[in-house]
Amino acid sequence: MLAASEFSDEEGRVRALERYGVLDTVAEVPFEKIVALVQQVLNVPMCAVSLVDRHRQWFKAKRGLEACETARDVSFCTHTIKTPEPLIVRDATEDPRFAQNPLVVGPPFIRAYAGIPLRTPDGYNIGSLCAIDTKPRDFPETQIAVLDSFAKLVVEELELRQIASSDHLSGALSRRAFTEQAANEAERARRYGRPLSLAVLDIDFFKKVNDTWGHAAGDVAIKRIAETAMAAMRGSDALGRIGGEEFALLMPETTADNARLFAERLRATIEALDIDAPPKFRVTVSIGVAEFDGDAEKIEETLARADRALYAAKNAGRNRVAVAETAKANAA
Amino acid sequence: MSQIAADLAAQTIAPLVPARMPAVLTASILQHERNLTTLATALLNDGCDESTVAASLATMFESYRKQLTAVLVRLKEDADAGGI
Repeated sequence: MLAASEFSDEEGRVRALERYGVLDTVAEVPFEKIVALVQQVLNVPMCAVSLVDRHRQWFKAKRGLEACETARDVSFCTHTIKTPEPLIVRDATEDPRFAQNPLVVGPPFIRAYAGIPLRTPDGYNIGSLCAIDTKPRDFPETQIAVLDSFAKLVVEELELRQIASSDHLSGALSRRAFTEQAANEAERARRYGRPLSLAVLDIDFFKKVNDTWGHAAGDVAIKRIAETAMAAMRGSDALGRIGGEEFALLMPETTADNARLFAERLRATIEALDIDAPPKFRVTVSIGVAEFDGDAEKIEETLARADRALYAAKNAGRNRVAVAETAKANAA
Repeated sequence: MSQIAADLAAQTIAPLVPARMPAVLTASILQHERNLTTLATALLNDGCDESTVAASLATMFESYRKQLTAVLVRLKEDADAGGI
């Protein structure tokens, strides 16, 4: 049983959902097959894999529903994710929470609902697998067990995809997954004229860590630094391990000035971090920051500028942050 | 967990058992077998006949196998590229 606080950690829940990178993606066969089987076995006209985002529920797969998403304030699944238990509504018109809901009094005229939370391995309910009827009905325990089994398969499918995009030591994105995400964010930043920054972080004297305390201690350092960076990041940021002891941080909606401030805070946090391998030791990091210029460069060039800024920080004595010159100044 | 459910899940997943997998995927495969067993049990308890259960498990397994193959290919490409 999860503590009540884990259901009130909305920011952590949304971050957990965003980590799967599944929102607003195209329809995919595994999820379509699950909703088709649920519809058949439970004999319901409507069924969905609903992912509950910050302000909306979005359907990764659906049967019998027209909308691709709805606002959260009318969403049944918003109620489902608040507890670890299934939400069963025999007749929505007799339930004060839903009797006046526009999805009950208007299309698709929901009357009965059964939803199972989609719970991640770290305990966040990111959405719901739900079966919906337009007539009042009971959902016997045996059907709830079936729905629960399919909900586990939905989460398993999401987790399997994560394996391909994760670095298993640090939990950060793999280099390839990071590069793909950076390219997507760059396209978005270019299209909407929004700021986007990158930071490249490298552990100082990492060879000495390995030589002094062994490679297992080096691995612990990599893991702890990734954890520290991920705890400090916003949900929209992404961390990738792009080299042995090198990470890259993608920061949408962030100017170089703000990225530098964040990088400086992160650098100071890591400097003060006790890494208990054992033995207990500390490391420092150098960080290079660059802001993407959609008019002048590709995101790979931004990464290269951040990398050059990183080496400027290294050459200036390490344990510091350096900001790259702008793309236009760099080209001049 | 009924023996029938466990047997159905084991038979469904059998093609993967001899394969040599990275450790991280072995854990996923074991989890998949547990989830299929749970699903088979739930479907049997709900009154589905064995052939329907076997067909449902086969459908779920086929999706999983395809995704697993895609993950394996991607992991191999990353490893070949010397990447992380």
